[in-house]
Amino acid sequence: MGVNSFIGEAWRAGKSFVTGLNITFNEMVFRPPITVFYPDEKDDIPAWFRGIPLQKTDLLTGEYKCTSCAMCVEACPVNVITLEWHQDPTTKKKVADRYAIDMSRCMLCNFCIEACPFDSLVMGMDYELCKIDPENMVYEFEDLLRLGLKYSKAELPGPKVKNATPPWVFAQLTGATEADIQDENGFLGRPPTGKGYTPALKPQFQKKEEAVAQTAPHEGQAPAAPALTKNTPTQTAPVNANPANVSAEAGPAKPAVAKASETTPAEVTEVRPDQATNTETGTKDGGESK
Amino acid sequence: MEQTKELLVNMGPQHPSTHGVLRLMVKLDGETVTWCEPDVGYLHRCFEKLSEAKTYPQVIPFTDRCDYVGAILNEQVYVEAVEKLFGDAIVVPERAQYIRVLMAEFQRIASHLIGLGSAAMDLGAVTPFLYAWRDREKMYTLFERITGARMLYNYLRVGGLRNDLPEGIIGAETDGEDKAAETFWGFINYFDSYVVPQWDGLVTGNRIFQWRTMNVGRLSAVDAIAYGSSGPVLRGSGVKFDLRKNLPYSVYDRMEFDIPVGKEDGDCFDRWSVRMKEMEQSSRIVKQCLKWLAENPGEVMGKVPRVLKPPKGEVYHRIEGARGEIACYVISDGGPNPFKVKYRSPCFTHLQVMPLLCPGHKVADVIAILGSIDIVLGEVDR
Amino acid sequence: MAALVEFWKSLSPMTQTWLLGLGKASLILVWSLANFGFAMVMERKVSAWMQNRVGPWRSGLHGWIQFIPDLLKLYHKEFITPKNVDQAVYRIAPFLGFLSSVLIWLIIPIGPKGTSMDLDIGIIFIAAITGYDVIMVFMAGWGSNNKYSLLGAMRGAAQMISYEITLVMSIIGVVMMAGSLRLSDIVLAQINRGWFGWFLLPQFLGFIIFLIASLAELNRAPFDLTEAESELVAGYHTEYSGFRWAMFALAEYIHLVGWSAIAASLFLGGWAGPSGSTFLMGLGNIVSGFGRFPNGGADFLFAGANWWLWAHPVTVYVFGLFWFVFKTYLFVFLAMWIRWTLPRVRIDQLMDLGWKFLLPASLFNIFLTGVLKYAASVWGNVLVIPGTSFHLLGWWM
Repeated sequence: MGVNSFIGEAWRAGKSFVTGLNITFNEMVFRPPITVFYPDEKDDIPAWFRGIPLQKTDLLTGEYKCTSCAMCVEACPVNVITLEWHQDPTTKKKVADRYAIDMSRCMLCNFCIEACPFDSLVMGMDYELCKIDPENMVYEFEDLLRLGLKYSKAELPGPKVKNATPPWVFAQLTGATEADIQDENGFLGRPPTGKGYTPALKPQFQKKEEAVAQTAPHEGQAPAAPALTKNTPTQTAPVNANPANVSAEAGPAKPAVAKASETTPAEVTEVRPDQATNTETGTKDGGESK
Repeated sequence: MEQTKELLVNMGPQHPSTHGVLRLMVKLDGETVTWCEPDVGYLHRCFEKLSEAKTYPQVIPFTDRCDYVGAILNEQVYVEAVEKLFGDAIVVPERAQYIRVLMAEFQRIASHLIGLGSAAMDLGAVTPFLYAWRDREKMYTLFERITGARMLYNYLRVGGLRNDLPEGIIGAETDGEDKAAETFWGFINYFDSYVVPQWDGLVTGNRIFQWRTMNVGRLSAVDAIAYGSSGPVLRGSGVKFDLRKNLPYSVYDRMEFDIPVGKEDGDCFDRWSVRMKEMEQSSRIVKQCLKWLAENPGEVMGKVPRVLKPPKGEVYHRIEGARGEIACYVISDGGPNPFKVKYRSPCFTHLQVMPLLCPGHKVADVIAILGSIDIVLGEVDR
Repeated sequence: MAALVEFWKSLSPMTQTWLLGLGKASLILVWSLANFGFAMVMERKVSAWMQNRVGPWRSGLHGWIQFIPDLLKLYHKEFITPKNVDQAVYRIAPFLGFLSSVLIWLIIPIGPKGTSMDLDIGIIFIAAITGYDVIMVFMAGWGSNNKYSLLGAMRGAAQMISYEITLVMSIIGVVMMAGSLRLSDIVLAQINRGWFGWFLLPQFLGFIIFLIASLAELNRAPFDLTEAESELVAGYHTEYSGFRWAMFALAEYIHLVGWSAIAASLFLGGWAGPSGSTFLMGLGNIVSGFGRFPNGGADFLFAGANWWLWAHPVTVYVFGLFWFVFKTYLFVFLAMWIRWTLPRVRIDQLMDLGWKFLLPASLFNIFLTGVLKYAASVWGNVLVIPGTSFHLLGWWM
């Protein structure tokens, strides 16, 4: 090896090292850390996050929405859903005895939510599901309902909307709690009752319900939704958020809003500004992000 | 009398640089390797047998788990194979095709980043690895916004996609680094203007890195073909073969891109630089897809029967994965479950060049070679 | 105070020596442990900053006392001694490494007259002490009865022995400049030459060689072949756990800081800091040829200041300590910066680098220094304008 190549190699090596050192130094001085201090602060969760499949409750009646049709059980690739049911002799409806998801084996593929024909399952955003004992990873029906409450809505009577945004797409975080269940007799995890059943609403809602029936002769949920919360200052925030979700859910949002504004402009104008914006965000990306 | 003898060293299955649970049996004469043999099977999860008991859509989440670093590509090969089984019965919308290509190329960048980063870390440079991780996290945030999951997407469906791209994720062409984790354009611009030069300066141009990789693990073109290698390993040996160009699938025939190749007798550095250049080409394809997608809204799911029952027959479909040629062989007996699903994984094929490349090199070079062929053990064992 | 002095004087010389020795030893131990703590957290912090992270964060203010919980955890861990190890060798090795790293601090001048043992063969003492490291690495690797450990130990022995020669050769240039092997003399020689007269510039080639060789000697990346984690799991300390492993970590960081201190003493003028007068002298050195103004040459400028605190021994000592620590950690940072940027070299490249590049280069450096010193003494003064002279080769005077 000649002296020239000796010096040349040293020069090239030195130059490349200085380039590298310059890069790391710039990263050190001019770039902020990207660390998220996890337990203290949490990263944003997108609206379509897949955390855990949960069961929804109808907040109007307190019934769970599952009809034990076992579509999710069939769709599950890893067979983690256990479903046992019996038929109620009076209402002839299926009543779930046990509905459990073994979250230690679930791979969060979303197939059960897509398979559900009654919009009963939702992919929740909860992701901190660790348990000390793996046996506790089996989420029973009550657990699923309780966790699913904050994605649940008050379903208003009316025809099912076809071609709506698929329910499994948006895990809407409505933030509802057990106190928001409208039926005062209703309790969490109550099986569906017969057709003739009219929910006994909590006293503060009863009049509003009648008022809705009187003032809104057009049969549509969209007008009913704002009316439900009209002039109800005592309501808590999560319930305030409900109408937005109802209207967002009522259809592929934009047409629904358009319809509402066409048919009953009065009610729509009565929606408070925050609710209006809620509705808009709801239509925009489908789920209000709390 | 005591005699010197060769030292048999077990690298793995819990060795820090085997990229998973791989066992490399290496015989050493001093520091020099005289014999090397990979031993696989520690991550076997019965994917192929398992899929015989599942319906056609139910297999899709399992394909994600094969190559968990390039999940979309694995979904793509399976889904396209099943669509091929149906023949003309299923028409995939054009937009869905474009989104598939977009996601696949984006995934290729992410996968290469990790492959290159871990190769660099095997050579002792830890910082590039963490830069790779940093940039991949940005990409995964985008993936999460589209599919709902960061790694194992379950996004592609037979006949299209599960859902369309969310609004605003394509972004504007002028988006810069501040939007790298929010829009595709933001990331691609950040990638072109910042990430690539950084890697060039920090690793590719580094003399120690070049000393470590040049003339190490030479694989001739003849051997590369004879051993069935594909992807960057094959192209690193100077063979200009890319399924995206040579046997175009999906909408790749409408894309403009080049095939980077190494020199005839490719060493680790050639494989490395082929991957580097491939990332730039992928970014070119992503840009073309983004321009098309911004102008052409539409359906992303074709008309598909509710229960998938493909007609009797068998199909072999192959695509260009991140690590090489992924292929899927599906036999249908007309029922709702596939009769047989067979995956051809590039990593498994590439592992068999290890006994060819390693002897004669030092122990440290075994790691360099292993890093340069970039294996994912999930795909090797399936 | 007076009574204490009386008491001290009443002791026998033997007792005085022992007590003094004990005191110095404890001071050195405390000093090196404090340095270990800071250097270890600094390494984690610097690496984190370079990688867009924050590093240790929870313990203390932003994690800066992370070394305390770390050491406590390691202290409470189980000592796992594998079967078939060579018990005596396996147990002694970690403590031997710690010993050699602490011994370096004996001769390092941390201020004017601030040396525990001002040996007149300082440089040779360093070289001798570092020899222990080879033994430590080899004992740990051999005693562990593990293939990875053995490979690491073999690499370590080869690497350290070959780089020690280069290391000493690269220092010889400095020794020629200063005319003494004693470290405090070397520092004083630099102080006498003024600020820009530090040996860093005239001995730049020697400095680069010293830097590379000491990184190799310390087993720091890019030469961390003995513990190359991606090749040899953890090299020679694969089989160690608990506090025995912590001894290796202690040794590594104390060694690092010790070497940085030596580098600061040899090339950056030790405790000498840029006070007002030295700064002006440095400018004068540049303007009128290198090495024009020896230290004290501009004292008349600061003659009025001398009765202020500038010249007080305590002030001088405190400032000296500050500059010494500052320069030391400059080198520590440099080592960390290099470690987190460059990939690792291979063993044959390492030996090539040591024997084929650095050793010839260091020999050339000795030759160059000699030639320049001679040239400076013969043709150093170039007459520019009658009456003033430009010291062309002033650095080497």
